[in-house]
Amino acid sequence: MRGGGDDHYRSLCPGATPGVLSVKELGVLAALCERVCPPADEAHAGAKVVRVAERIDRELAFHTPRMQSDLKAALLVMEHGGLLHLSATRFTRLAPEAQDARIEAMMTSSSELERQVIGNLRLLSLFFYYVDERTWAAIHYEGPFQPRKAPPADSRLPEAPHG
Amino acid sequence: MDEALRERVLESERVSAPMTETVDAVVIGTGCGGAVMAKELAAAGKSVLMLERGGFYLPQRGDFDQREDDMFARLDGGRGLDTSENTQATLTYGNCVGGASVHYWADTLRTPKDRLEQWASQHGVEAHSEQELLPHFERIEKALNAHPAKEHRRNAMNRLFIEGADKAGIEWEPIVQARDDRCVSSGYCMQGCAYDGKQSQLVTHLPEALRAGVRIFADCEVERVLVNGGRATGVLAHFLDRRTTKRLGYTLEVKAKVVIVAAGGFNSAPLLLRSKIPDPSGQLGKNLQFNPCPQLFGLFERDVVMWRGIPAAVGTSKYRLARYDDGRYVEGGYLLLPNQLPPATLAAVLPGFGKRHRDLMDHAHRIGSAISWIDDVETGSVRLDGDGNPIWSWTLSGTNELIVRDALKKQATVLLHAGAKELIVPDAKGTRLSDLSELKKLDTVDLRPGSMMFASPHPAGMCRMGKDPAKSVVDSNNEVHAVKGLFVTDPSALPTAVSVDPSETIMAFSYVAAAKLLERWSNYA
Repeated sequence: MRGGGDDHYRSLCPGATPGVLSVKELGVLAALCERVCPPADEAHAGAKVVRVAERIDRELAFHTPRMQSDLKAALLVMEHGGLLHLSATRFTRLAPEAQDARIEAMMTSSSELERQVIGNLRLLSLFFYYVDERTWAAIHYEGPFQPRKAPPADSRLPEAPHG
Repeated sequence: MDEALRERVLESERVSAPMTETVDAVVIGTGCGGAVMAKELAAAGKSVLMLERGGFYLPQRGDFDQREDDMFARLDGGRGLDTSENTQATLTYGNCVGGASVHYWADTLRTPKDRLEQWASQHGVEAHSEQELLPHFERIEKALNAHPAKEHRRNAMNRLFIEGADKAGIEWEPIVQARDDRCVSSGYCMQGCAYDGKQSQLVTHLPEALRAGVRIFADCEVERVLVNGGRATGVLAHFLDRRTTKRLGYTLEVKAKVVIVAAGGFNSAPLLLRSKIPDPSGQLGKNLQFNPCPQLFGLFERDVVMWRGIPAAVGTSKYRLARYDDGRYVEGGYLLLPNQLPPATLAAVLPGFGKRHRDLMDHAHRIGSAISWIDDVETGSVRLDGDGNPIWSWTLSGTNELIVRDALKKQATVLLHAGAKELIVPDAKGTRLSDLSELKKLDTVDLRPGSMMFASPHPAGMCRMGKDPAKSVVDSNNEVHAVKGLFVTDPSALPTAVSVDPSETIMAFSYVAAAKLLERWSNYA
């Protein structure tokens, strides 16, 4: 069983500086986002290019300590919950196909906790992927009619396109 | 809103020291319930201060930029991410000047007579009959330019709904909408109207209140209601830094003859709990209903683009009341409407992940949907965590589950008759149906927490109104039984959910509450 030091998790989200999450938590989130929103072609850039995990980390800064700790706990279950599926391997150490199988198993698990964990992480990943304007052409969304004005409590990454 | 009125709204960036205020009435919350109270009291010459936890946003400033993430951040209390404790319900609630009316769909419906009668007979609610509310309904409908949605407002999803309902033999009707000619049918109602076409409180009762002398402090979070000797005396609040959503370090203490809590259906009860308001009934924070919303999606062979146009120009109330046979549930208990979701929210709701989900999203413009507002039977509740933040508990169970399954079947019937080639259930398995013979799949589709999520648009009941102080929190004047001078005038005070959009009910009840308070004002002077 291979573990994971900070280098391992940092490699899953290179160049990122976590805010609310730890390096490990951000790495787990990035690995999951990449399976939920994988890249395919130019129109489907995938979660890594859109930097979904970093966006979620920034968003968390505007939420309650309880929500932050709930999400941290969810990421812990995501990474180490394999024992419930008779696997000692961490989520981030699985091959992509095995990661997909783990996600699938969690989504239909008899454990309410597992379903909640994957259900909510999946929802966050998809929402923050598809609010990015780089994803809009592929889904035939022409975008808003009004120019963007950043909200005062803005969780977008500074260099993200302002769709 | 013109510049002179805007000046009467204090935003926290202009606050640089602790403040104290002495007024006749302090109103907590600026949505439908609070706005009507404030304007009525001010029109009668009372000094009124409104406190709003959220920010002050206006189309004239370019604030309504129509991005889902930006607008959740501006308008929604949980920035779009709050849920019930078990994550089965997503909780959306207003957190801005104008409250939930800024993000609502603009459906404007009178309280059904049967619901008013139920509240009178089962809860002892007095002086709120259809006849007594009629002048208020008429006044509200005039102020909000409420009228049945015109035919040109029907988007492709609405037209498909009509087609499907007609073929299935389900009668439908236009839905009364609070809009004027500035509405351009952009489809961004839930993101706040950038055109002032939707007649939210921000463009109707709040300007009227401000003209009558009301002041509003935005970015101002009430920590607790102050009570002394069984009487409400004011509130203690904190100004928030809008950039961080954290406290700015400046308090506000308001001394008031009456305190009016209108912080919304999800948040008024937590405020009273935090304030340790006496609750001899034990009902404070209980009886939560919110019209949970199951929704179903259909893949069509033509473009639907459900995120354009107004959400629900039509719908059917045929199934509003549940039918029972000898106490056993048979059918109904919901409104059935065409649905509207913007793209990222649609993505979050659609089932699956990876390639399978991406393939669905590639056809997002051809996905249509129907939604139902369930007239709840079982209820949820709220309690506080160690920091005083609310934890809402709710689990789909019992009759509510039977109603949800029936609603899903009716949605499927409409969408299939409208020409959907395949139906997508937003459960963890991503169950699919392709014809009416498969409706029975909906009897067993997994609705447990973590499998399917339900929107919760219309919270009610957690400070319920009633005659008996042993069974209710407020009386028929909206005054808390146990605390003189403390009123709750938002959907929390309704004994149950309304079974239709509650905005007109909330406003009408506030008109009654304001009139009764003014009649008895000398008791508080």
